[in-house]
Amino acid sequence: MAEEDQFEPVIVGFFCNWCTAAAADLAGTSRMQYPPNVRPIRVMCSGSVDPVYVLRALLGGADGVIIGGCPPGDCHYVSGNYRARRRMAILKTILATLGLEEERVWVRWISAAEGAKFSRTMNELTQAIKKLGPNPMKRDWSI
Amino acid sequence: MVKLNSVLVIGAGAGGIKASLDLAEAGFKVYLCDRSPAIGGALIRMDRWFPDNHCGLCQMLPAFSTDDSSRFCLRRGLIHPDIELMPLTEVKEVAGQAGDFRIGVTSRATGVTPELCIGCGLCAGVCPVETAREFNEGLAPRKAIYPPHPGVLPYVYTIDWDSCTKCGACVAKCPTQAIRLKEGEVIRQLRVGAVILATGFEEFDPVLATQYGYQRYPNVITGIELERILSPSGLTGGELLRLSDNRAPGSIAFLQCVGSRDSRKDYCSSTCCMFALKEATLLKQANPQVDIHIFFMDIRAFGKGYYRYYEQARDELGVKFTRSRVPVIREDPPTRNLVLTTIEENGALAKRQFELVVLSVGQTPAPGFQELCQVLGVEVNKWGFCRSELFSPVATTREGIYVCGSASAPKDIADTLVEAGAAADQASGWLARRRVPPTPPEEAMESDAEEAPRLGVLLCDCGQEITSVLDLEEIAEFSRQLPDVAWVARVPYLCYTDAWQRPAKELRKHKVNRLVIGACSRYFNTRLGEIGLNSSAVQKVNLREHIAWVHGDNPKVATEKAKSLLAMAIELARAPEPEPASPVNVHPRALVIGGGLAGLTAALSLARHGIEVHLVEKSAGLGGNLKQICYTLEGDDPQALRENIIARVKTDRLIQVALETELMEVGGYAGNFEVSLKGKESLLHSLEVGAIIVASGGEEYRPTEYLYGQNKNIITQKELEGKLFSAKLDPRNISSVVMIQCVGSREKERPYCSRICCSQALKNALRLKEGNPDIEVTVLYRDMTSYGFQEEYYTRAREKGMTFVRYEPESKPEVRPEGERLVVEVAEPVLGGRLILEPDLVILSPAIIPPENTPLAWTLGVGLNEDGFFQEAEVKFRPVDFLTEGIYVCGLAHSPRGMGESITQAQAAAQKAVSLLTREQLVSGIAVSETIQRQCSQCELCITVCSYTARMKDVESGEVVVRGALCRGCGACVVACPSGAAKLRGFKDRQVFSLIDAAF
Repeated sequence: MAEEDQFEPVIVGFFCNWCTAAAADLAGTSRMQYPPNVRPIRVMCSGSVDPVYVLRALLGGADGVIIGGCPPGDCHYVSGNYRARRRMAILKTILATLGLEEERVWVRWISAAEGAKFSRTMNELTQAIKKLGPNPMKRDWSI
Repeated sequence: MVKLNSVLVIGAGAGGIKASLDLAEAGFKVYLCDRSPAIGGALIRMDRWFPDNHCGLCQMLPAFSTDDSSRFCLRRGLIHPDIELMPLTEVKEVAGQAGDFRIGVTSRATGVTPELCIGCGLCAGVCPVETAREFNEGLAPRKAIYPPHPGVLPYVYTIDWDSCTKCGACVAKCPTQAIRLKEGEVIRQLRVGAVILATGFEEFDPVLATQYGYQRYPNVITGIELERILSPSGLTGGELLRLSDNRAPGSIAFLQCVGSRDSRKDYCSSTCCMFALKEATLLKQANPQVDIHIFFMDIRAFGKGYYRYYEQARDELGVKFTRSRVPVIREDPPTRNLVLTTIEENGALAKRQFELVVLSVGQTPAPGFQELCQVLGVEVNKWGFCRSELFSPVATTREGIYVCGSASAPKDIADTLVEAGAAADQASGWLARRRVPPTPPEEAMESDAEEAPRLGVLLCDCGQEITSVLDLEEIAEFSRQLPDVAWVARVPYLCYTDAWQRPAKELRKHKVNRLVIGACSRYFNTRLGEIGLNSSAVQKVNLREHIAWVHGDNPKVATEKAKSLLAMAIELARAPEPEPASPVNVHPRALVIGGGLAGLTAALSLARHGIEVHLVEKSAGLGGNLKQICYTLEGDDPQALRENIIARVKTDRLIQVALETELMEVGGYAGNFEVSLKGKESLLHSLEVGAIIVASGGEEYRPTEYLYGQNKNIITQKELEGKLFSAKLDPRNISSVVMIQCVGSREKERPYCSRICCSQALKNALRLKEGNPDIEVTVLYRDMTSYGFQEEYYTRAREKGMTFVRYEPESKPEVRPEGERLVVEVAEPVLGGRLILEPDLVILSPAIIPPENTPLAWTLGVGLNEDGFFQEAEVKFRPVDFLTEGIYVCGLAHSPRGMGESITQAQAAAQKAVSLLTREQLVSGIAVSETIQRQCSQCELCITVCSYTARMKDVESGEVVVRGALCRGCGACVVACPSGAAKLRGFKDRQVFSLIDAAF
């Protein structure tokens, strides 16, 4: 257990400008506490997240990746979030070939009004990644 | 007379914000005042809306704006260079006339200097006063000094003087001396050309309905209170809990028409049915086991897509509907459950128990509204709303002052926003319109983009707000080591007025050409001029809201996160600045399709703003359905309107009418369409237009049911109207008629309400009664949809002795001839028997149906909805737009609606078109997509994924090109492209990779 507490995962978050990035700001102004392990990257749309970006982060040693977009039907760009969902579903099927658990990649819909959901998700994600342990890619490279 | 360029909008709710955005985008200066401390009105207290359960608020933001202020969700504030927000402000006097008003306004001091307040909240921490919080409907407490809304920008506190005791604790605590405990008012004189009244509504106070025990029983709440309970930013964080015991209720009752449709408020609030349906839908989706009952009189689901929403709640989600008024509620003291006594439809009394009761309270005029109208010099109607006429729905009784939204009648957001667009259109007629020049390119540094990047890093302490968690010295030291960083500095408060002076000098000294700011969520771009950098040379890291305020318990890892985020921002800043794309010209000319009421109105509005209009009409004459409307419920003269409007169109030198002409082909894009038209006798000819308005209309359904067409005494409402008007039919010769509602509407094949047939039936029934008070009129209906002030006529009809008998769609009335007579038989729900009538005439109220729209939709490249009407971009927030920019829709082509509503929508569509056509050029934003031609394999996947038709194949060159002005920079094409040829300027893969790599 002690080791698990020591491990501070690095998680890369791709957050869409219209919903999830705004939710992060709302969580901030409402001072809802969550662990500092997620490194947010603001993208215009979750649909602009190329699976290659996710792989880049994982191959580079990120312990987890989260894509945050607008709730279904609510995409500012009409249907980008659906495309993100489909792409990530496919991406997950190939993670195992790399020796990566598919639970390292999360897709969540968090609207601009859901500051509380944002902080809750960051909590759950960090806990889940801590439980999974460090990215095995990172361990292998270092040998 | 000198025309002014500015306009005053009173009320910063849904309507006010929309009207302001529309006007500001059209190049006018807007003063937007509200008497409350924050913008948003009723809008901002809701998270999701019917009929799609989405937010969609961001869709209201301007489409062509290249300023990145337009990239902020409206929940976070309204930032527009041409909109001046005036909170806590009231209008005190109005002088002058349309085109040149002089308006005295007073603004109350907020007690907190916004330039000094850093939003740290120390003041609220020491404030001893607790009071009910408006944002959460008073359900949760707040302090006397508080932020009006949790997400709003800039995050500044305000003092509620009514509860403030002026103890001074906050003044002593404030680290920036931002608080002045001095009440006061600033009086200002505004000169504006026009005024828009958008003050909205106040909810009916349910305390007045004493029989329901609101405030005596904790588990009797209002709809908007439920909304705040269910909201993730609300009281319980989105969990459904009872206020009395924090337990999830297992059964919920909604009571409709509280403060509407009774003897005191003889109007329908138009929105509460849908609002309750939405609450019930969201509740059921989140908690399927909850038992939900809606007690109602009529379900009035008359908007586009609303009836489907009702059916879904009833049939798929299992919401139960009981047609009953509830005379009284009693509490069961031990459980605090509520016992409802209901009068069932058959007259029997029943008692039912629920754990939570939600009152669907109606809309009433805002308090002080009468006084405001007096100041403005506009008349109110007998219900206390602003008076407006059917054929000029957004005009008040004073020239130059317009009204939109619930200020003139109870309305939902969709209708309010259409009216806001119409009000903006009408108001701008009084303003000096100039061609909107393209946004001037920002003052760039002397250096060009090729110059090697020299980065500056500016870190804000925010007093101790950031430094109490983050080791800024360590972070500064870390930043200095990063590539290309030439200068790092810290400032105590970056938001202060004089905070940028010293950094500006330092930046010049160190020849810094890119800047990374580590501060808070404040919008700093308006101040970048002070340091001579443009916004694309600046990256921001939100050290406060993204780190210090949310990771207070883990300073060590938080500091690591701050370093990563700075390293990432520095990576972004090092990338070369993209060159702006070249602007495109706009043809200041419009095509209007359809010569009915909507098309004619739109054409006149366009011409009034100096736009050349080409109006094409398929048939041989103008007027459309208006030709057959002879009188209205309210007593207006539609034929006078028709003659007047056609005469004006025909004499307007800017409008060219082409009859028997159809649109054959459309090429190009917003501002640059090329359309081909074909007349009956003429050859195909083409025309360059900047915008297209679709007003192709709708038609009456020709019934196949109830023996229509087989018996001369079975006619439609329209036929009856014509006969009565032309005196071919004398009411004195008739002794009884039966009207059948919902013929072809709200059926399996047409699951929508046609909106106007109930008022049409009331209109004709009252006309019959006028001609012969002894006529027996029986109306067979499903839900009488006499919304808004039409309710008065429903009441009047019943007073005059008309009989209203409800039928179920499963047991429709039966019409059969018996010898010379007609017999109508229907199940009677109150007495339970069968009613047999022998009327002289059977009048059918047929649906409004779309014509075969597919070819036109195909030609235009726009969509249709399931029912065959044109599909707008977003049902509430972009009601007259298509996803394809530059094409707009109004009238029956959009959905069934009344004449006034068609006029409003036509004006709103015209406003959108004018706003586009008065631009000199369309300039694209920085972050638009482009194609690297040598990598492109022309698979055209990028064209398919683009929602905005910004990508197209150039016929001549064969290349896939981007129409920059239409691109919104979402990046869909970039990911779709299999060969890496589609790129977003400023977001090349290499940049994103280095950004990701910098994260750890």
